[in-house]
Amino acid sequence: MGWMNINLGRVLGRVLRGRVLRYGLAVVALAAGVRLVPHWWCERGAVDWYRGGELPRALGRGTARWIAEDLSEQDFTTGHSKYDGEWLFATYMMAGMGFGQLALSDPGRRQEHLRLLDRCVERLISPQLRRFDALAWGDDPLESLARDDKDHAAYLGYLNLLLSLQRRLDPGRARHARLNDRVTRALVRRLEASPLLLLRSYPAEVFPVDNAAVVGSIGLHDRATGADHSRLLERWASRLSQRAVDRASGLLFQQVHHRSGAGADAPRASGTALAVYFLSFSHPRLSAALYQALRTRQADTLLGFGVVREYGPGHAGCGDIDSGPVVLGYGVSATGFSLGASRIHGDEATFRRLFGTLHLFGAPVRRGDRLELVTGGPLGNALMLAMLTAPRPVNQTEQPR
Amino acid sequence: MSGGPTSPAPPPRARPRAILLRTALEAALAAGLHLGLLHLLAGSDVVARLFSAGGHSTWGPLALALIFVLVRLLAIVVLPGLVLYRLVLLVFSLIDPGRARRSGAPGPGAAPAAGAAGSPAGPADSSRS
Repeated sequence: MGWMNINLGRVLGRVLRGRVLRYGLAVVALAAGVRLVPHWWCERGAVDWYRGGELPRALGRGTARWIAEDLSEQDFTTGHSKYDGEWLFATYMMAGMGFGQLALSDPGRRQEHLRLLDRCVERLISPQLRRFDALAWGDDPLESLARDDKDHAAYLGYLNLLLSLQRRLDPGRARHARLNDRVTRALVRRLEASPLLLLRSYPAEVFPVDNAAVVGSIGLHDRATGADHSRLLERWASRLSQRAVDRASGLLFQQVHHRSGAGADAPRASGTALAVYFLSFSHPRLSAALYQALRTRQADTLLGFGVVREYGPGHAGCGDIDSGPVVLGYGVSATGFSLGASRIHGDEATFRRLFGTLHLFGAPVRRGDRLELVTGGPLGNALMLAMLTAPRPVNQTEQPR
Repeated sequence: MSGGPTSPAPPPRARPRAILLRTALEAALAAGLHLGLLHLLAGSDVVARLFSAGGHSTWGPLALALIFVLVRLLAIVVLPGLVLYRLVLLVFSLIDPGRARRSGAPGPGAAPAAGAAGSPAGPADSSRS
């Protein structure tokens, strides 16, 4: 057996001295470089974003540039006029939420951000931005507030969340307070009348995430005005947990049947992550429970970059208007919305990893005192402003760590 | 004793220089292309709107946008690994320049003629393989 040891030793010696060692080590270095350096590089500014430093304010100024442009449906070419209108609406709504959250976190520039928020509200209630909803329902959402035959949950829920935030920031301002009260009353009446305790976004279409915006707006209105809808909100949360949350994954069904309330689409992360944000204004515990499901079931890393799977375990599908592109099962919207969800629930590690992904694909660029995401466009910049400035819930003690 | 084919002079370190040059060129090209595209696109709302719109637009901006994403991935994700890869090769070539030159093409402007002392196929090196 001695000869074998000698031969083995020689072979090993040659291998170690030769190309195998050299190129082997080089490939290991390449792999280590790809695995360790890029995500570290992209996460550099994450702490400033997480703690609310100068960078979020710079993104606010970048988003303000888009808002000042008087955008129209023609700026969005989703291929469907309803979605073009929806995206235009969402741009002003999310930008307004971002400006409101900046006003909360930065008292020194409160008035500047409140003015921007006000501009967003003015655009949101304009006939141009109501058109997508009015066309879908055959009825204007604001002119029909006194009638309860059509829910208009998407338009009214999202609008009212911004109106309630504005009310909370500036309680003395009467201009939109009356509208805030009228919309809140209409939403409460319609929820009370709904057998499912869920409102329809469009005829025969019920989306739990849009209903999360509805109840988030009612909860925020209560905090701003001292009104009390806590019993309705508790009933709603209980019903949602029983019917619209997938028991296996803990995620929200993206859509439920408008009559039975049964899941009509898969449990998905994009809707769940956005609902975590909306519910943080009214239901911190439910928001935290949904976030835990999102983090434990859907969150993942690729080369150290944070990513979130769009479809719950056992489900699969392609990207759509809600999810954005789904690549290798990971969703663009799910990953982006989870940034806000992780910030809300104090999960800095997840926030940092997700921020690395945003930095890689969003390509933030400073231009003077402004910061913009090159690949974001108006909607992407507005959404990320809202997510990156999302505040912690009022009752922090309820949140898990 | 000296100057003969069996006792070569210390080989010129062409390979390390070539590796360094190639690495620096690749890094500069990727970083320059990336920064150039980044600032071009930052001032081009057409492409920003295209990203936001989901791609239902003209092919020109779409191609530009895809090139940008690929270049950004190359510059941020691939480049650091590539630099480390080359650095390891560089270290080996510094430790054992003769072997490094034998195992790869000689660097530009530094390769002695084949068969000459210290060349990749030179007789002086054959005893070391």
